[in-house]
Amino acid sequence: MNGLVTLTSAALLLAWNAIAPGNVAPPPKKPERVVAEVKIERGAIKGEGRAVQAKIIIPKGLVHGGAAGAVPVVPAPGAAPAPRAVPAPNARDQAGLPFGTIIAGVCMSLAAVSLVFVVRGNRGAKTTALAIVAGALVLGAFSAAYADLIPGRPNGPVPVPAEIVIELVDGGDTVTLQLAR
Amino acid sequence: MATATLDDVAPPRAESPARSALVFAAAATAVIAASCLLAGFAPLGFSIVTVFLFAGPHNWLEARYMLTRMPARWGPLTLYFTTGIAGVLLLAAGLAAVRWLGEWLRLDSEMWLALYAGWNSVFVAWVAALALMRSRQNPRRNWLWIVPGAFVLIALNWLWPMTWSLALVYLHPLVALWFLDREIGKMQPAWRTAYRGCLLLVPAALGVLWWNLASAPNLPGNDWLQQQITQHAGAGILSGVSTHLLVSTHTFLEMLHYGVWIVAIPLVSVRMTPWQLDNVPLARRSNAWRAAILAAVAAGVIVMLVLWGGFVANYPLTRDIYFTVAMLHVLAEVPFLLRLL
Repeated sequence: MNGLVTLTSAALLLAWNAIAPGNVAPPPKKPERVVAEVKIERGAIKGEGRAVQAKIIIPKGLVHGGAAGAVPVVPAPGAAPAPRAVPAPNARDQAGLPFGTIIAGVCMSLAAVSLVFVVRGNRGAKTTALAIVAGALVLGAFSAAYADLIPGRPNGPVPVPAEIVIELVDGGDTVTLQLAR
Repeated sequence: MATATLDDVAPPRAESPARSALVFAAAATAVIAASCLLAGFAPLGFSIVTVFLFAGPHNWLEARYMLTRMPARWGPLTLYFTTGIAGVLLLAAGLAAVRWLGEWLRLDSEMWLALYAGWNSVFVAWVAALALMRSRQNPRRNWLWIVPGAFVLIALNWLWPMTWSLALVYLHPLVALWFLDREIGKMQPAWRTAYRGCLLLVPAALGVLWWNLASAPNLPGNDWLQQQITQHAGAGILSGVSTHLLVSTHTFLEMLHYGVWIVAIPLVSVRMTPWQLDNVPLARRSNAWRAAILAAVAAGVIVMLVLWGGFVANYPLTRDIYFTVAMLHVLAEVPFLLRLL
């Protein structure tokens, strides 16, 4: 009986060792540099805006080991779940509030009107208000002088910044580089 | 009833005012220097540890301080305190709703910005309304300039809503220093010169941090907790500024804020253990009020323990929830600070 128990234990021990995670081969190291065949196309880039001067099409299999998406967020070991799906807006976004300028303008007007009530009958405040108005006028004149609205200044077309489109495609193993000219 | 106050254990009142002011200044200098060093050399670790240790206690002691400053019967101050408390609750709930509903409904960035800017506008209007009400209380003040000032702030907020919100994040720790200045002026005037001298060390310490970290590389790593900490300090809004510099600056100011609420204000102003209610005017109204306030203080201890438990179980998630709910204490400071001015 004891021999049977010992034999069974030894068999289980050996079987367990065969599947122990420590014995699994380490994952292959991801290459840090990938060399791929490239196809260069010159001419109009279809389906993109005028600012786009180049487009590069990369098969997904060549980047991130074939993972979809641009830069996946990989939580560190022991870290909490991934960050929220919808990121809070950042500094670049805040300039894009369409009606923000209108509301700001209305508020500045209200500030100017309410300032009149504050300085009314107050000699010191009147002086301060006059100094602020004078400062605002000087600042306004300075801004106008350096704006592109003064006649005689070169008012050429606003330069369009050059852009490149990076597109990841599912199939293929050739990188395509399209150049506008 | 026998009461053991902090006076019994804190030496300053027993010593000469000059000597106690010197002890206070030395302690304040040591805290500022140590906070600056730790925030500069280990910003992430220091941030994690300080929030874990002090976030709960500082809210509890701050609430306890507010109880000492809340009058027993509001009388002519009813409108002021009603506006204050209603504003605190509605604005805190509003901000939490913006965050949680925004994520749940997957709002686009334009809608996010509009909601944040709207919240900021209501916040400014609420502060301005409270300030105007306060200006009509004794001692009376001529604070009419607050109206155009508020409109200018709202205008700036609609132009740069995220930058404006970030300014609040950095200004909030400094409000604690203002509270302390007013309380020292009332309760320990002999310390005021020493305290204001120590305040000059704050910009000096910030200068040291910025000088050394202006060109420091961003903090390594990109997990959720680190993203929380760096984004809270302004990464993404102040693009081009080292996240090391941002986190160090924010953590340094936060540590000063915790130090003021946990050590300095109880020492200078409350001068009693938190569960002794002799200096709480509301507790003197009746036995029922006293029991209710004691229960509130005990509930604060339970919340503190739950918060610590949450930090141990899941630090990033608890931190995220804490900083959303913590808006309550940020807002609650406004009516009490205005009353001190």
